[in-house]
Order: sequence, then C-alpha cells, then structure tokens
Amino acid sequence: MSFATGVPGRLRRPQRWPDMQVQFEHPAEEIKRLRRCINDLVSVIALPAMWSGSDRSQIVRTLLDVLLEMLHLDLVYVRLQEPTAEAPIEMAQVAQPQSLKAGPQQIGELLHRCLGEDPQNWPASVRNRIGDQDISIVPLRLGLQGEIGFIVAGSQRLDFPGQTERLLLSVAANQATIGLQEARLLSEQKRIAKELDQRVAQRTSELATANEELKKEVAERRRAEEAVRESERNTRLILDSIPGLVATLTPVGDVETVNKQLLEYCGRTLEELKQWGTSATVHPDDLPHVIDRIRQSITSGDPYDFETRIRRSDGIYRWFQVCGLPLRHPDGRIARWCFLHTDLDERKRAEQALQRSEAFLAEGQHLARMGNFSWRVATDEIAWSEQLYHIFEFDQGMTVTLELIGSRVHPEDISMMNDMINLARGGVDFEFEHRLLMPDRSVKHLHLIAHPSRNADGQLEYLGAVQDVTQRKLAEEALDKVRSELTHAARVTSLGALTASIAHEVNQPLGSIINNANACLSLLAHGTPQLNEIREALTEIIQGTDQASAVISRVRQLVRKAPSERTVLNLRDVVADVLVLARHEFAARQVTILTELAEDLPPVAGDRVQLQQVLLNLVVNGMEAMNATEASKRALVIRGRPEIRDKERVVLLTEQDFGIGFKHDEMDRLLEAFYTTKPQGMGMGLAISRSIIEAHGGRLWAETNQGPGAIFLFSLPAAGKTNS
Amino acid sequence: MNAVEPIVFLVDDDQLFRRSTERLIRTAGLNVQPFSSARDFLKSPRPEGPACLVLDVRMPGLSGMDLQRELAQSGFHIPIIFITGHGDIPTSVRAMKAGAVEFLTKPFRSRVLLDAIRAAIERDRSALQKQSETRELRERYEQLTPREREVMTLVAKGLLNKQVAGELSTTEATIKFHRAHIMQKMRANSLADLIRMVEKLGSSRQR
Repeated sequence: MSFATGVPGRLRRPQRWPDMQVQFEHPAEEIKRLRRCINDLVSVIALPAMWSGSDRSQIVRTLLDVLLEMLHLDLVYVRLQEPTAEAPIEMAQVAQPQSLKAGPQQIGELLHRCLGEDPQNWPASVRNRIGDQDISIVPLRLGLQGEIGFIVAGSQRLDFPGQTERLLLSVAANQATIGLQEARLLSEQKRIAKELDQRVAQRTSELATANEELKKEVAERRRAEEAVRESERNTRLILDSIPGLVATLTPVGDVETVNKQLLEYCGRTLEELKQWGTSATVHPDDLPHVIDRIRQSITSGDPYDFETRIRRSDGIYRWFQVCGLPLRHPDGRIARWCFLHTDLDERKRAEQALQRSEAFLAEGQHLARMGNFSWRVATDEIAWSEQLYHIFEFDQGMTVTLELIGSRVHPEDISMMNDMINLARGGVDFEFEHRLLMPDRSVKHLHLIAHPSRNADGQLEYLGAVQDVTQRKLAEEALDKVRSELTHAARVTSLGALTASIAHEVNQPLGSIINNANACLSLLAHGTPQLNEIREALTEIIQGTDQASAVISRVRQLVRKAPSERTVLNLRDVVADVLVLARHEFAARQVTILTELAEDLPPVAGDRVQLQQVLLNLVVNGMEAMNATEASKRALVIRGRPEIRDKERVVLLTEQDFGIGFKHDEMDRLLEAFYTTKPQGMGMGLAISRSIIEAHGGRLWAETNQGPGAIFLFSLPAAGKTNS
Repeated sequence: MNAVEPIVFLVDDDQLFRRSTERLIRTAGLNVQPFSSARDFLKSPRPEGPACLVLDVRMPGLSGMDLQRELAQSGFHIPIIFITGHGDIPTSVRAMKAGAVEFLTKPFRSRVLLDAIRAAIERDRSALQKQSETRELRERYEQLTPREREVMTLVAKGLLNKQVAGELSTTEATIKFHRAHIMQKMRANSLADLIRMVEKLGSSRQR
C-alpha cells in the first residue's frame, strides 16, 4: 500500500468540526458532531495499524494529510528529531498552497519564531501571522519530552483549536508518536538487520578473500616446496654432473653427502666414505697432513686447499686438488662444508714431466753454456734463466736490468750493444756477438739471438738465447792461427821458388847504388869534380833505393804473418805484383810470360797478399810443370776478363802453361791437400789457394789444355754494383 | 899497337844498373861502351885494341851465357866478366869453364869490378900481343917448304940431324941444309928459340 499517493480509502473525508459550545446548544448537532468526533478519533486511533510497516516520512505524510483534512487546518507542520541524522526531518502541508508559498524549513522557522526556542515552554496555542494570514497555531510534542519531534497545526479560525480538535490533535500526536516510535523501531530493526546482513555479507566476503589468500598461500607454499625439491634435484644433478668429486661435510667435519662421481671413483658406499679416515681412501702418506689441515680449516673456518692422493676403486691412487669452502647461514654460522676434488693426476704428471724437462733444459743449458731470456721492451723487464746468471756471474735472483747487463759488457762493445738495443726497440730479429769483461779481467764471448713477439697484452717482448762461445771462440782463434800459419808457410814456400828472382830484383838496384856511390867518390877525388855527373849519380842512387825497397816491401808483405785484410783492389795490380817478383825466374827458366788482361777488369774485394799468394802458387806450379818442356815452347799465359756466372758479375783469372799437365782423372784430387806430383812438394799449395779463393766467395778449378799443359782458373765476385 | 885505347863493353838489360856501372867505369878513367842487349853488342864492330866484356848473366832473349857461347864459336876471344843478381854455383862454374875471367855477384864492391876489368884488359892486351907474334911466326912458317916444315917439327922434338935424316930417309947433309934455311926463314937465333916458336905455333893451332 502506498500512502504517498493519497488518503487511505477507509478514511472519510474530514469534515469541518463545529465548535463544542455550539454543539451543546444544539443536541442533534451535538450528537452528529460527537459521532463525527468519535469517527475521527477511531480513524486517528486506527492510524498506527495503517502505518504498520511504513517508514517515518510516510507516517508523517499520512498524519499531515489526515490532520489537515480532518481538522480543516490551513497548515500543519511536523518536525522529527532524527537521532542519526544531523538535520531534522521537516514536513508541512497547507490547505491553500497559493496563500503560503513556503517550504517546510521556512515554515518551521516561522513557527519557531512564534513559539520560542524551548519546546518545554511553548504555549498551548498562539495566534500569529504567517504569510499574509493570521493563523492560530497549536504545537504538540511527539513523545513525552518532545524527543521525537513536534507537530504544529494551524488554522485561520479564531476558535481553533476547539476542545475536540485539541483532543483529536493530542490523540493523533500520541498515535503518531507510537507509530513513529514503531517506525523508528522498525527502521532500527531494519537498519540493524540490514547492518547485520551487511556485516554478514562483509564477513562472508572477508572470509572468501581470506580463503582465497589461504588458497594462494597454500599454492605458493606448494610451489615453493616444489621449487625447493626442484632445486634439490638440480643441486643433486649439478653435484652429479660436476667433473669432480664433491662431498659435503657437516660443520664438525662428518661426511654428509657425496656426489655420484665420488662414489663411483672410490667404489665405496656413502657409509664407507663416512669412515674415510680409516679406510685408506686417502693415501697413507698424505692422511696425517689431510686430517691436520681439515681440522685447521674446520676450527678456523678458513677455506681448505690441499693436494692429496685418493684411492680409485681399482686401488690406484691419483692426485687430486681438494678445495673445501664453508657454506654459511645468513648469521654467519657455518652450515656445512663443500669439498671439491679435482683430478690433478694428468696435470701432476705433466708438471713432473715439465719439471723433468726443465731439469733437462737446465742441464742442457749448463752443458751448452747457454741461457734464455725474455725482455719486455716497453718496461725493460728482463727475465733470465738460471744459466744466464752463471754466465754473467751474477747471484741467482738478482733483478736484471739493462744497466746491470751493461756493467758486465766489455767497454769496447758497449756502443755496439746500445745500437743493438735501440734497433731492437723497433721489433726486429737480432743476432750479434759481444764480449763480457768479468771482474777478474777475463773476457767471455757471447752469442746472442732474439726474436720479437707480442705477448698477451700486445706488448713487444723478445725471447732469446745467449750462448757462452768463449771456448769455441778460443778454438776458432787457435784454428785461425794455425790456418794462417799454414797459409803463411805455403806462401813462404811458394816464395822460396822465386828466391833467385827476388834476390836479383833486390841486388840489381843495390849494385847500381854501390856503383853510383863509388863513381861519386872517384869524381869527388878529382880536383874539379863534374857536378852534373855527380848529380845524375845521386839521382840514380835514389831511384835504386826506391826500386829495392819496393821489391823488399812486396816480399815482406808476402812473408809477413799479417791478419787478413780486405780491400777493394784490381787483379791487374795483383798480377803485376807477382810478375815483378817472378820475372827473373821466368828469364832464368826461359819461360815466356804473356798477359792478356781486359782493360775493364772490375775491382774485387779481397786480401791482396792472399790473392798474390794464389797467383804466385799457380805461376810457380806452371813454371815448374814446364821444366821438361822444350825451351822454345815454354810459355805461361795469364788472362783476366769480366764474366757473368750464375747471374753474378765475376772476374775470371786463368793461368795456362804448356807443361806436363795432368790426367783427367787427377783433376778432382789435384786441389786436395797433400796431393802432389812434385817430388819435394807438400801438396798444400793448391788446397790452400782454393780455400783462400772460396773464403773470398769465389771458386778455383782446373781444366786440361787442348794441347799439352794445364789451365787453372779462379773467379771472384766483382766488388760493388754493376759498373760499365 | 899500344896506341889503341882499351875499351870496356857493358851488356846489361837493367837500365839503372847499366848506367851506374857505365859511370863507375868511366870515372875510373876507362872507355866504356854500354849495350842493353846481347844482340846489340853482337851487331857492334869488334875492337882493335885490348877490350873486355862486362856481361849480365840473366837477360831476356839472348842471355849472357848464350852470348859467351856465340862469341867463342865466332872466335872472338874477348875476356868476359860475368855479373849476376843471384850467383849460383853451377852457373858460375859453367861460365868459368867456358873461359870467363871473373864471376861477380851483385852487389859487388866497385874496386873488385874495376880490378877485374883492368886485369881483363891486361890479359887481353897480352893475348893480343901473343896473337900478333904468333901471326908473324905463322907468316914465317908459311914461307917454309913442306920438307922444311917436316924437318923443323922433328928438330923441335929434339932429334939429332942424323936421326932426322934417318927418319926422312935422306942424308945428314941435306938435313943440315934444310935446317939452315929454316933458321933463316924463321929468324931463329938458336935451336932453343926455334923450339919455342914451334911450341907457340903448335899451341895456337886451335885458335
């Protein structure tokens, strides 16, 4: 049922009540009025039944409508104290809205102004002007103290309120109070029920959420547990796939777990491995140290690292590097120890092999008097092998610097050494020999060879070897000395064949000098000396002296034991030197000598004396080969010409004689040492000649003549670049 | 004959030595004629007066020894003084055997050479003298008849006239006759004189 739309159907249309006093004056009227009054009262009393289940605003609206109609009011106003809301509910009904255009609040204010602030002191009724009308207003409290609110009824009638009207009003007010209280109660109940429902719903939803979270948590935990299990599986997998033997130990050092490899390697069970200290798992020689070291680590918490031999299932002990690390709780306590055993056996064996090979190397270097070094050019860091310290006679481990090396280098070699160092900074291969001057003034000869390389940092680094070649050097020097003495002996021997010729060459000018000197003496003995004659004689004396000394110096050159000295020379001069000494021998032996030397003979680089020796030897041989030749056919031809041999420009010199020659099968042996065809010959001349020519980078060989005799030839590389 | 000045011939291929030797000899007051080769010397005219030859042993072409041999063959008996830069014994012996008067090794003392030259000239002078005497004897000898030559040879051998007669199957008187002719033609003053002449003729027959 809706009260908002209209007056309840049971209610009669309120009629205008006549005044009580009038009713008493007219009994019929009075009865009617009373009846009506009773009807009204009944209607009013019935109101709460109608209101049952309605809310307060419906109750108030119904009340207002009923009172306005029933009592023919012009205005009715209700204000309800709303304990829960700040603002009270105000409602008003007017009979003629057009005469009072005001909202309930404005009406409420107007009424308050008429009635005063305190409801306890309100008059029973008051006449006041509201809007443009004078209205009698009656305030009625709802509830004993007006705690629910109040009703104000207003009418333009002067007699308002009549006795019945007041009764009706108060009954209505009581009924309204009851209805409102019920409604309040009901609404309170509703509110509470609703609140309860809400709380239940809220609690239910909270519980649902909690449940959800719980579910999530459970799933989470399950996942975490799964992850832990997975992680454990992975850990196990990792442990089992590590290329090493892993064991974990409790903080006090008992074996906790081991990986598959360790089990397989040892061929023992975990339980057996827990007794490793007594089961010969670790090599007996290592065991005391191992136990000692593990105890130390466990006590101190320091990582463990030790090389140990561990027994394989087949009983063979292999070397392992055992590393133990403590795994700690967040608070720092050790949770367990993890020991990784890495098989070192191959490396150990390689190390031993390396040590052996290093020992061999050191021995080899000792024997060879050879040492190695490395040199970082940028930082001048130098590293030496042990033997190098021996060679330099420095204490092992001294820091090697260029200055330190320089302090040993022979003063005459220092500048060469510095040049080499500067050269080496450019990163080239280098090799040189230098000397050391030792503190005892002895001299060592070193041969150094080094190659540049780039190390891992890309820096230039030399690796090299140094050999003490002193002994070899001394031997070489001794050999050189012997060789040079032999060469010298051969030269003197060759020269011996020309003694007569040489004597003649010297005696000739000497005789001339004596003659001239004596001539001078006798010229001077005369009273008037012939000065012109004397001058001529003296001039010739000087000429003779020059001539003799020139020959003597040539001979001295050949006889002297001079060290080999290379100069650029022309073979034409060498030929002339030799022929000067030999020409009288040729004359004596009636040998005709012919020379055919090309004008454009290029120079060669060589030792003049040695080349003279070679030619001398060939010429004397040729001369002696013709001893038995008919005098008219004795001739010796020396030819010289430039040639290209093997794309190289050479000077070819040939000596041809017409003597006894040699057989073709002798050709190879001819140049060998100690081979001779001469009764008094040593057989050294040609061998030495050949070694001299070969030392000059040339070649010496023999050919047979077309007719009688032999041809000896030698070629020497032309000196310098091509010259036309 | 003594009017002809002695002359020293000098053959040496070494110019310096040749000139100094020439100067030495000249300043010693002797005539000297130098040659640089044996061939040149051979081409030159032979001297009339006493002379000697100073000769180098070793020379290109014709050597000193060759020249000595050639001169001997051609009958030019000039005294030769050999000089050499290097004297070896075999060469010097060969040279001396072939008639060299001296063999000097360079360098030698100037006096030694000059003494040798003077000795050689004297020797040549006397040789020339002897040679001219022999020539006169021969001319005289040429005037003898063959019979007189036969007689003279036997007489010079010391045979008596009778023995000579017996040898030649004739009479002693005939021999005496021949002898007188011989003594006259040969201008011999005595038998001893004649014998010496015969010896000279005999010894010079080889020259």
